[in-house]
Amino acid sequence: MKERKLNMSCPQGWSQQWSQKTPAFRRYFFRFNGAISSFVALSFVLAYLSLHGFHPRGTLACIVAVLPATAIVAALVSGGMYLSEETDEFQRHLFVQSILWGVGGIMVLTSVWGYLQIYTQIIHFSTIWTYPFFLLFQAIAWGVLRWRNR
Amino acid sequence: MGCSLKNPAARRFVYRSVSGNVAYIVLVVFAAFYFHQFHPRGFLAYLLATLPAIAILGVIVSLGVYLVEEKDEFQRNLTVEALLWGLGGVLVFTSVWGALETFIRIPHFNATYTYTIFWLCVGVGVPVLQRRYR
Repeated sequence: MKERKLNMSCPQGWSQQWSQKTPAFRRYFFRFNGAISSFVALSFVLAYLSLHGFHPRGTLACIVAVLPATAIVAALVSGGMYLSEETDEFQRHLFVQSILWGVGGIMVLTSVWGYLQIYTQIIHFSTIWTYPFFLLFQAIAWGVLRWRNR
Repeated sequence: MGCSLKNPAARRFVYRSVSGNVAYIVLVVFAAFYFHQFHPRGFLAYLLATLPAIAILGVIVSLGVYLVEEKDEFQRNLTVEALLWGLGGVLVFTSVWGALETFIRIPHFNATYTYTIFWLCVGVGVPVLQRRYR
């Protein structure tokens, strides 16, 4: 019987990459995506309502404002759970490093923007964007760290 | 976090972060003084606004260096948990404030306070974690 040669030059498919992920990462992926989907959905609903004349006051306004924050807490809790469940120390280290870069990124962005806002004529930074920017910085750091340690 | 300064990695972290925060205060005061006295514009204004952020980045890097240098896994996990507390606190606060800004008339949040709120939340998280693991 002729032995088949494996095509090693073929790039890894998504399913193959996915199967190489640790079980902790797969659980994190689903939890995080659930939280982020809720965050995006809630933000869109609130933006839509706000544009269509929904302007709650008092307690209702506070409750409505807290809703997207609950999704953020869920996403962060999923990150914490991943760190406690992940047995691969190296993956944990990469994840913590990416969080640190995310924190550094938003601290630098808000600090620079804040001082420019005080001293120059720059538009107001809506703090609702802090979390999306954190995710952006963390994702960039995660990609760079994985590429560096490939 | 919360460990005694007999630990060399923690001692180095304290020195580095204190130096970073002192540099932050000095740079903030310098930038404020310069803006009030000389009213710079354009590139110089951007450069001056960036100065305090360099110190902030230094403190965050010192935290990362501590996590690499710390040999005690338990202390490292505590630090990461405290970091998550700080991060969670700052993101929840800014998200709620931002949403309230959209719906009701509340004062604009000055973004420069984000750094302070982050460390306040870490400061709240550390005793809670210490109590949980004592």
